[in-house]
Amino acid sequence: MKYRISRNIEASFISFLQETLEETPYSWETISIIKGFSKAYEEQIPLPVIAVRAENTVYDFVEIGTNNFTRTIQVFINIFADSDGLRLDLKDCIVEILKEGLIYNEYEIIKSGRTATATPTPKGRIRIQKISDTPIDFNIDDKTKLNERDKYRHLLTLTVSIGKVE
Amino acid sequence: MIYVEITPRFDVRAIVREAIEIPFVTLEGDITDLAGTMLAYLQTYINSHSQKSHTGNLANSMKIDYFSQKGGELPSRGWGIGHKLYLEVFAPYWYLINYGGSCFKGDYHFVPGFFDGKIFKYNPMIAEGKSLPSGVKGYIIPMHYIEASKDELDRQINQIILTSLKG
Repeated sequence: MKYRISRNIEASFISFLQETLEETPYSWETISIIKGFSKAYEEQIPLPVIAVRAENTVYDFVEIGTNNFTRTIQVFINIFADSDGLRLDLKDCIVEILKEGLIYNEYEIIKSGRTATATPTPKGRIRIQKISDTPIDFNIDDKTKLNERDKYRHLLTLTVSIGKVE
Repeated sequence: MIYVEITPRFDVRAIVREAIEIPFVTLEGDITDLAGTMLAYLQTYINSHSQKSHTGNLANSMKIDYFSQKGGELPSRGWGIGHKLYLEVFAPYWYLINYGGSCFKGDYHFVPGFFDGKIFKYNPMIAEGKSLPSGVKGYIIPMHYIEASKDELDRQINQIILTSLKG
């Protein structure tokens, strides 16, 4: 089974962030990078957590009279940190890592007994068209009333394209 | 007047930089008209991303505010959708629904879901809910209607500029 484009983009982001954040000079080894959003609220996953979601795809026809299009996807990167300093450091670090784009991998799932392995094959590049950066502040005076996952959050919204005519 | 400079994207044989002047009045009218289109987009987006039964409170609370400012170096006018003060009163969970999370205001905790008769059913994918005393767990998945609308607004403005350039 092969992943389709949106899942490939999500998976490419997750594996790229995981690898790059662990490498020198960043060396962040205790960060959990997850797909989606809800898992970030599971207590067994320690902070900091980075949640990646690909949503809201826009299709632009390449020319009049054709059914071929290019797609642009919004990727949301939610950062859940355990301190305000870490929140700022992480978001700057992620912007620095992603600003030049990343390799677009196509994933094939190979099942063997009860286990399944996703094998990536590089098939182009994910280009970052726009990044916007939003601190998430629930505007509550007493931060002790907030869930610890909501205390230091940040959202990066990326508009990305793989530049392929489909 | 507004001054725009373009580079053709697809014709590599003719990478010519052209400087074109567009009468500002044309753009201003089109961008003012865009308010209605964007309101419809935002309401449709919210309604289509709210699952199962919902009151439509958030979508209905989105209104257009036109404003104009005289004086200063340049007079300006424009519009906005979703005034914060209005939303705080009529759809107080607008921020939580957009960004998601598990948060409560005051001593109450917002729990997403809906009433099926007298029974409250928890559903993290719904843009409504009820307040429960703190201590009750629950979270809402972000809808990101603000980010989606900002992106659509950029696309629409680009379209208006391109159409104006073509004449």
